[in-house]
Amino acid sequence: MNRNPYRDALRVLFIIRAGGSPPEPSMHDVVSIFRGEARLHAFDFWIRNPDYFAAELLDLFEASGDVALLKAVESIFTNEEPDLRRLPMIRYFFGAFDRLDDSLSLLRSRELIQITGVKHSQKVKETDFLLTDRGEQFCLTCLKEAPPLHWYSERAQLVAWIAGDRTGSALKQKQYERASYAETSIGGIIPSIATETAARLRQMRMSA
Amino acid sequence: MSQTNGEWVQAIARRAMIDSNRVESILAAHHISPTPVLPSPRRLLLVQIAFSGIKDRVGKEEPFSFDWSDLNHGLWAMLSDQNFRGKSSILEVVHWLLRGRPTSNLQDDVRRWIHKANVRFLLDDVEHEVSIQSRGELHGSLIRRGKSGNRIPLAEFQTEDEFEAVMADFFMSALSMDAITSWQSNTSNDDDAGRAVSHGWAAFSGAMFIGTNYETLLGDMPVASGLNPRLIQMYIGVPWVSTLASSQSALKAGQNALDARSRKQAQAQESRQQRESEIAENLTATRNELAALPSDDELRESLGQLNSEFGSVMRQQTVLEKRLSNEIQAEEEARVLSLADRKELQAHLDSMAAGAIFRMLDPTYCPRCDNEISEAKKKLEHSTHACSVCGEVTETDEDAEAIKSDLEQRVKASKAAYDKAAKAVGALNEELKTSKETSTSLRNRIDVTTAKLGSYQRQQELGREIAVLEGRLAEAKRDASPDAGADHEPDEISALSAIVAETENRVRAVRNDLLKDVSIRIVHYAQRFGMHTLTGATLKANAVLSLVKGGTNTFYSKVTEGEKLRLKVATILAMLEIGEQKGVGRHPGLLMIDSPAAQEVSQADLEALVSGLQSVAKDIPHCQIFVAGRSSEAITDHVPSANRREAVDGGFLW
Repeated sequence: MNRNPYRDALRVLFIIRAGGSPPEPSMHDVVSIFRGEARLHAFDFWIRNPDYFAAELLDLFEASGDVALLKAVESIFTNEEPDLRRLPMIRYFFGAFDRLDDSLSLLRSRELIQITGVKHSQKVKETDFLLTDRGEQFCLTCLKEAPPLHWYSERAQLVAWIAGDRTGSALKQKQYERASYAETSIGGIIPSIATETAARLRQMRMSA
Repeated sequence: MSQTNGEWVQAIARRAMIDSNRVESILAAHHISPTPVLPSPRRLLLVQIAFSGIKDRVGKEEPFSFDWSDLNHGLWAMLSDQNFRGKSSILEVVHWLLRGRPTSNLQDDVRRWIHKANVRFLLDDVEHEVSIQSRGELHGSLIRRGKSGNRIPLAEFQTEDEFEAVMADFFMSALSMDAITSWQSNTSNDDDAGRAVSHGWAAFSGAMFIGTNYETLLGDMPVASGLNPRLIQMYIGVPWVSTLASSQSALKAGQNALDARSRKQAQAQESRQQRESEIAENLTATRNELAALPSDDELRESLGQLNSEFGSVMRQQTVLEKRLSNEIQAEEEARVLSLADRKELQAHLDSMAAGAIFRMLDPTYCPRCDNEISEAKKKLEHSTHACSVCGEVTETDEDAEAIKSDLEQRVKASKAAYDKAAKAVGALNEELKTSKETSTSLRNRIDVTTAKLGSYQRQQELGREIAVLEGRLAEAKRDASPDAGADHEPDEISALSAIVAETENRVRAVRNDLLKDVSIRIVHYAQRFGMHTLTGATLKANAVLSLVKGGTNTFYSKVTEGEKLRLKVATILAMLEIGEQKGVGRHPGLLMIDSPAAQEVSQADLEALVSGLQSVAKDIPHCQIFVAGRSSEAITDHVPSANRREAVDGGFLW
């Protein structure tokens, strides 16, 4: 599978855009601010593994009973997303992890984002990703000119909504647990949980 | 054998168409003897009646003694002014001593009271005396008195049975009577149609006593005994009668034996035919069952064919399963391939779009060093397609379009391959399902046929059964051979029939004339006894007496009891008289008449009878008649006092 750097970069850009919060007044030419590199990785994991995301949606549906969540899961399976959209990643010690340096470089070189570090204390440093006016304009152009890419924007927004206020580490913890539960071992690649999640969906459809 | 007897045997031989020697042997075998001539009648006259003993009534013992001697011919009477004064007992004692056994009319207490009894009588002027001691075990003697009055003992007896036997032997011989053999039919048992019964003195002696039962015209045997017609013939004394009786009895016995045998043969025939048809039925059923069973060869042939088909289907199934497994694998491979192609196409389309968008942007800063990219490098990139950052050749849209087209072709091809494989899997599954149905059906047929093979044993069994049944049928047919066990000579029945016929001819020749004469005299005597309306009587050989009374036809059984009494007496007197005239009569001449206490016979009837008897006694000098009855002037007028025994004023005769 050829990995295309532009596609990866665009995915990350839409994540930063969807998961951003309003910038600080001191910042110029910045539209929004996405806080935390771990959070960015967690968002990216859900987009690259629609089956895990569907499982999370089913968890939330079980908790809330929101039918929109169930419909979203159905749509994921109807569109064969676990098969067609899955981008497997190597599992690292801290959970699902893939270096995003190439994508971030691409975005930074086009001045679509800025990457800042904020020192909260002596040891802890949080990396924030700022969406520039130029980045925002680029996204709008993209949505206008390239319909095949709409999926990334929509999925990033859905992921942001699902993630809510949860911190990056909290999200990663959840994803890690699910992957561990799936007991991966083969080549360190996170296994698909599409089959069991689809089964869960069918069961829920029946009882819903 | 006399000339008459010879003629009789010849007649029988001619009639039966057999040799006369054969006739003689049959006659001997059945104890049939000719009786063409009867010995002349013997006369019995009572001389003395005496008995004594003790009456014990209500704890009171009272000795008694009755003695009536110097009796002679003529009419005698035992009279009392009340009933139950001993009249009938006198009569019954005489009957007891002459017969050797008391009748049921002798009352038990009277029988017990009597300790001694004796009767003296003349038999053709020779005096005899029978005397008994009846207290305790009965014993006694019969003696004859010689010319000089000396006692000649004839017999002694120690028991009642001996007494009866002595008296029977004596009188049967003295009166030249033969025992009457009659056929007593037995209706309760088919195998035993009846038997011959011999009647002797007990039956004959009844003709001398007229008791109070007027059921039969003659004697005191019940009607059912069938004996009364024979008694008539005997007392009328027709020759050949006893021969006829014994030959009829022999014929009847022979016929019955024959009937029983043919009935048994018919039964045996019927049961044999039934058995034969049962066996035949069974045989047919067994043969049908055997025929319905399929032959073993056919079964084995059909089984072989089925097994071959089954093997072929199973081999085909193995091939199908292998093919299905291959197709499923191919389907899975095609699915994975198709999925990979579609995924790659999706990735390519995304990448193309992303690339196109990014290419709209020129890099502003170097991603490595963050330094601004110079205008010169940007211009160079446009002219040479060399990257303004790294100098490599940038990808053009033409390449991307070519790759897209290529990917689309691959997706199409792999999808087609997947669809084809899926279709093949579906078709193979169908084919396999059909094949499995076929094999299951074949398996079932094989099982059914194999089960039928088990009927081989049944075939063997049926074959054996048929052999056994055929044997039994042949045996049953062989049993049909005629019964060879006839224990009678074939000519015997026809010979006996001839004997009966010839004897009957001889009896009939004399008897009919005699009966006609007797009948006329019955009317004569009955009229003299006061039955003035009786104008005609016909006595038949079968003892039926038909009458014309008051111009109307009637029978003995239909008239009043008083008339019956007079007709009974008239019949005996008529027989006595005619017998005397023709020299054939057999009645000894003694007649003892009881008159009933019952109301059926009126005193007037009795008086009329006594009146008639008194004149009759003069006409028939040899008869001696005793009458018991209530005394009346009409009776005493006719019976001289010397000839009477009377109890008056409620007294007893003894």
